Amino acid sequence: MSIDENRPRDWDAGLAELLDGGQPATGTHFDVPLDERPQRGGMPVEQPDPPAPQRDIIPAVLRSWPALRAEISATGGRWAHVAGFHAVRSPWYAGKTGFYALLGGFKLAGRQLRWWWVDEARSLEQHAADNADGTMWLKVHRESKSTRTFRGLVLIGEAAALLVGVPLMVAAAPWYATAGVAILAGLGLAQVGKPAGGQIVSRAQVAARFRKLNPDIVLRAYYAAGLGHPERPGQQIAFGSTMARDPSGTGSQVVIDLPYGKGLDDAIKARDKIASGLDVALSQVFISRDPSSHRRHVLWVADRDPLAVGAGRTPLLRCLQTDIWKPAPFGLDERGRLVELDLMWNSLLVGAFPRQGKTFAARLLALYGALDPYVKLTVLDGGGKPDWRKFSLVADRYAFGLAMTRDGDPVETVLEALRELKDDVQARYEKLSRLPVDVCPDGKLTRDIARNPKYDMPVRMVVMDEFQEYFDLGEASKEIAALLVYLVKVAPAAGVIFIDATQRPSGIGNGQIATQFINFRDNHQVRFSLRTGSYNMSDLVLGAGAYSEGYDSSTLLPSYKGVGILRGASDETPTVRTHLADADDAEKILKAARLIRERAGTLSGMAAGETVARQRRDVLADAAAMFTGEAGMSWQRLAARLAERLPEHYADITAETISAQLRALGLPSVNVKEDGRSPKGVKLIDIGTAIQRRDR
Amino acid sequence: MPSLAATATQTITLTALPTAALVLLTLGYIGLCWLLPFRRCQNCTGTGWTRTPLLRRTRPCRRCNGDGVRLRVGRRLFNHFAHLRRNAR
Ligand SMILES: [Zn+2]
Repeated sequence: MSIDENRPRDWDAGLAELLDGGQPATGTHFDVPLDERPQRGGMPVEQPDPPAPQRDIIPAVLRSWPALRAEISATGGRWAHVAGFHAVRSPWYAGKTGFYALLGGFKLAGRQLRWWWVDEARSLEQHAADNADGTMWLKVHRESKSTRTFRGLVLIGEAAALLVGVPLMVAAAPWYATAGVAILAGLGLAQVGKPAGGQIVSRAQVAARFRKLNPDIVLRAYYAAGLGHPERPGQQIAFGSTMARDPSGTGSQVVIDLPYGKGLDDAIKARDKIASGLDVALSQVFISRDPSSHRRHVLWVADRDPLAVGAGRTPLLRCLQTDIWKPAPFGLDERGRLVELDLMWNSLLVGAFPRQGKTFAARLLALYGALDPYVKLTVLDGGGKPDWRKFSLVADRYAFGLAMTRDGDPVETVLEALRELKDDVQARYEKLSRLPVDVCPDGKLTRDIARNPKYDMPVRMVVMDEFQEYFDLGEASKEIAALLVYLVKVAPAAGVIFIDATQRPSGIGNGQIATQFINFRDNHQVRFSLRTGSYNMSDLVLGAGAYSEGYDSSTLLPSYKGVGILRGASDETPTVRTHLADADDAEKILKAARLIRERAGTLSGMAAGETVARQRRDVLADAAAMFTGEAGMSWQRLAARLAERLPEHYADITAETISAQLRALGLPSVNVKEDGRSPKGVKLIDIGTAIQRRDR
Repeated sequence: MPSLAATATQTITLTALPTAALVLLTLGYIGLCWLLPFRRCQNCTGTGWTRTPLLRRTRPCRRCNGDGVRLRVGRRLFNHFAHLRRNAR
């Protein structure tokens, strides 16, 4: 079974055989013993290096004529400035050089004289004389005498050369050679004569006053932070790269290798000490993960506090239609890179102290949703601030504040909206599971399904500001809390985006409600925390463990506005300076959004002027219907009758709740006659007045 | 008047010259004591060896301990004062 090397090989025949799948005849060149089967197990091999990023063959500057021209004129201008600057100062430079050259001449002469006299031997001689040690003195004296003789001869030769050479040069050589030699000699002497560290030529460009990082400063900082030890073996800090300017030109960065056993978390914990060691502000120091090893990380030191500079106006101001399936621009990170936030399938919790830009941050994302006409918006603001009012232009449902308005009771609207959402979410799962596989391959909402009115499953966005208010409504909160907890867990997967902001991340109320609040809060996937009061508050917003990872929003300065830590959106946890969209911008964007929606024919709900079908009971009418000839009725009896006659709506009603509901509508609680007693109750005539007042 | 002036000049010269010479000499001697603190021993003429007057045997010079050089008087004085000053503290 081996190849006959001497036989001529019939390649074509072999190939034909192979293609036919026929067994090769013995003796052909295919009849080769196969390798043994590979053994199981094996051993680790070195991973091939990923191809290094390639640089352009022709730099971008040289590729187009305008770019080249711009580059040439910019460089030329720079050079012209430098040349002019120094030309004007050249007499001053010449004077300085002359002075220092003279000084240098004396210095050089003195140095040579000291060399001639063998200074070190002289001190030995003096020492011998002090001790009256004749033998010693003689020995040193004889040695230094011969050295002195030799050196003296050298100096005499030098002097002679100068005495002969200089007049000869002046007399015989062409003037330019003499001048050149004189200038060179002058420059050399000036170099000797100028004080150490002194500069004859001043700088044409003002050096940027940024702290220059060098390896020594970095090492000092790390050793001072206790991350290593300069002398102990195996405890040294090493550099994984050379210190380099950031490509964006805003800072310096270097890759650091900590000693074995120390990791990224140690560096993050010692960030403040490193900042101190580098002699910069804490906010200028950024430590980020290097994927290759846990003991390796990237240290980036910004030239100036990057968070103090705003991120500018939002790109949404162009008022172009957006797409919710694409990430929303949110702001810039500490290194000036755009941070985008994928809203689909997500729920975002925004938390902060009051007046830190929490509402602006949430509104920025809501505006992105508003500009996509295929997104059905629900805006619920528990605070009732003016910031959200303009969303009435586009929102399918909205409720501002808690006080009664012409649109009705906001709390009722909220409850209604959440009930409807729950029904919608449940219906969606039902519908999606019934869709054919070719339409809905993963059993999940797709862009096409969401945009097709046939399926009636648009992406929905629910924005709640100051949602803690909805947990503080007494009786009504029970249902709201239950609905919210259900929705935040289930709704995002059905294409309902949640954006919820609160200034009280710690929670509200007690018992069941408090638990539900925490449940609701902790079920958000993405967190954005602007400045908070303490690290535990920061942890409540960012999620447990954020502080131990080094993320603490209470370290953000009060002067930063709209700056927060974004956690959970990606592998990184950037500090984001959010884009700005103020009230005017928001109004402009929302007007454009309404136009876009009108054109797309997707304006719906309250924004379209529909009165939302309310299942809400007309409590006044219901209460009036309970009266069977009485002029007044106690709260007790009214509650009992409502529960008895309309159990589907009032099964759980008590005297207190009906009293609270009716009193909220402006009905007085008065003493009524009932069975010879006079308990507190309501008079029919007051209910009539209230109905009239409402319907007017 | 001119004669008087001349006399004055002469008087000055007469007293100043020796003074200046003295000062120069002193300074020169101090310099010598610093630059060349030792001088050749007079007793052995720098050889370090002397002969006994009786048997004419050679032996190391007693004055210079066989060095052939001796500290100058000025330097010896200076050393003495330096020593006193050091001990005075
Ligand atoms: Zn002697």
